[in-house]
Amino acid sequence: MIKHNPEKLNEIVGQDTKKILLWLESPRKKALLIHGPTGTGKTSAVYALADDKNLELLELNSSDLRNKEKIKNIIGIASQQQSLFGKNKLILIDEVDGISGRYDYGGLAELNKVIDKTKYPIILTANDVSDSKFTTLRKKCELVEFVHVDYLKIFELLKTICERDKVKFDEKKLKNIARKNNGDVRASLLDLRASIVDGKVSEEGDDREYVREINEALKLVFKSKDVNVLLNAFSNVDEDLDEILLWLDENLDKEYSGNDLLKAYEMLSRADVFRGRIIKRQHHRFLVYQSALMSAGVGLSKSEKREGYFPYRRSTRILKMWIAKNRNSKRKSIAEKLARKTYFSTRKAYKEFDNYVKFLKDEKVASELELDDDEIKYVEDF
Amino acid sequence: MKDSSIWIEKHRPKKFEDIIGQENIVKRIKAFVDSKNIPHLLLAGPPGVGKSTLALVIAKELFGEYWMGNFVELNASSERGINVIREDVKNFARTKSIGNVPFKIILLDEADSLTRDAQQALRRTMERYSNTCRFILSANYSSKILDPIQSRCTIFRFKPLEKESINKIVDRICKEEKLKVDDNAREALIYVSSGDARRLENFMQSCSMISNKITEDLVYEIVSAARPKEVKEILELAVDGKFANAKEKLLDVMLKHGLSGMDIVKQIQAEIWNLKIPDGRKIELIDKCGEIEFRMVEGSDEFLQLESLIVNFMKNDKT
Repeated sequence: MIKHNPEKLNEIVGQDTKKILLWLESPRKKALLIHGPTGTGKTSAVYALADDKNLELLELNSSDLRNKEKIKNIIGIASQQQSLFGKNKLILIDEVDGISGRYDYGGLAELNKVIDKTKYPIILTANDVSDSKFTTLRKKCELVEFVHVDYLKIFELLKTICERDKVKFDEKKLKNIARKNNGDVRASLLDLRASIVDGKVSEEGDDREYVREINEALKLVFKSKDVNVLLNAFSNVDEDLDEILLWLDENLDKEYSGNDLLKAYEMLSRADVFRGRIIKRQHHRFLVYQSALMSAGVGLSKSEKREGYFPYRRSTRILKMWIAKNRNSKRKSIAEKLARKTYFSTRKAYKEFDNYVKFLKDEKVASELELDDDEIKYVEDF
Repeated sequence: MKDSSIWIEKHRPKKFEDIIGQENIVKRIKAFVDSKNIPHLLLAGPPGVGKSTLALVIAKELFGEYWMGNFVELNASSERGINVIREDVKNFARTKSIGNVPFKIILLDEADSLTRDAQQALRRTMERYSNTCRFILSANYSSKILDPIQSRCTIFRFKPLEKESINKIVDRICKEEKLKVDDNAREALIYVSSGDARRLENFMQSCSMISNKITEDLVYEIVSAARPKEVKEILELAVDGKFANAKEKLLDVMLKHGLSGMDIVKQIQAEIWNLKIPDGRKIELIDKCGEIEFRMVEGSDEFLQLESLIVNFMKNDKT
């Protein structure tokens, strides 16, 4: 398994880390704030620093609640006490820009106090601290900026890792991975890991492999009635449930008919309701239900399985919808122009488009509405 | 100013005398205008019956040559939100009116599409500027307007135009545009426009693009480009057990006409009663349709929800 955990600060790729060392070694009054885009090594640098200098690392990250009480009780106290192991301590507060005004009430103010009083070095990380709510914090910190990493540097890193782990590779593929991740080292490493099959770097996000996996998964759902098999059907598919939902929808009516189809669609419909709730309320536990309804729910809806197997098809619906949306944006802009000229509501003008599209072909009308060439073409093709 | 080439603009009445239909309303409003003062107005009624037209005539008759500087139309259903509208109202209302009428007029179209909160805000805005501004609200349903707003307005309820009025409009346009309409075509126009003068004029202008002799066939040819039939066909395919075809057509119709899942579910609900299936089944399907509309609000994939509704239209073993 590909791993890259820098153990020394100078193994961090593409960033100026000298400032961090200087800060640590100087008689300091300020905390250190490392800011910059995702995946450029901010947190890794702190880990490496702790490793390098043999410091005990105490970390509070965004998955913890970080309100006033929490910061006072955990960081406030730790920043005063001697370490248990007699080591020196380093305190890391990750993603400070994720401290929420609502749930972490009073957290930032408390943090400012802790920085004033601490006996141990404190490092903060953030993507973006330009917001005015960080003004006080910025004054109390020395700032170090991490930047997008040049893709050739990422490529060199990927190459080193492949050589170290004896993974066969083709330079072009590694460069592709590095390039498409826009300077994000972490994402590049994840992509590299995902693309290694049988000891070599395969096609980018190997589509054939993925289609094979998803076909296997769908086969399990459509053919099995064993609830344990069904519940695990998607565990080998390296893709999110949204994509699987589309595959199920596309192929369901080729496998099931009559009452089975009715029941299975009921399951998908309910699964989608949970999906909607996940999106709208950010309550990710609902995934459990979405997944169970999609696998066991659909699987157990059949009274008998259809014999035979054929390759399942990928849904083209999303693509078609995207194309249509682009097309319909013309219709919308035309409706807006007509509405403005005629005291007509845009919404109604959009809906009743069919009623007047014919006379938009009249040159005089088109020029009065100032339709552009694309819009005229849309009207003519309608 | 040059005449518009769009008929609904070109043939829009410019004086009270030109307005066809709504005689009682016109008479009362004309009395207000003659006294050079109007209250806030709420004009309620279906589309295409003359609400915006009447507001424009009021402005033209009151302000004469200065009407454009003293009148603004804002659409409440636009995506710009109430804050923008408030800003617009403020900017418009705080300068003095031009000419000898001491107030300006703001037409707020589709006021019933404003949320409760937005209407509350509107109510305060109306109060603040009532010295310098009169509001004319237009709405399809007066019941969707908050009581405190209704109570500040004089309400006029418009009805769909009667056959007689539609006939007069057809005559007027035929004369000015040099069109010929035979009796059957006239009946067809009355039928398809269902009391909506805007639809009528749009249809007539569309027909005129093809021929200046409008026939019944021509009218229906133009109209058949419009939809409802297609949703019915989707349901009939499903009833016949052709689910795959129904599914394909559903996607086509939605994409071609740019319809949302919500648009379709409304049409399905209306179309269920016209299907050739037992009445008992219809009521089951109506229930299911309501359930799916609810799930659409909660869920994420409108198309998937529609499919799971349509699959219910197939005859199944249970029944």
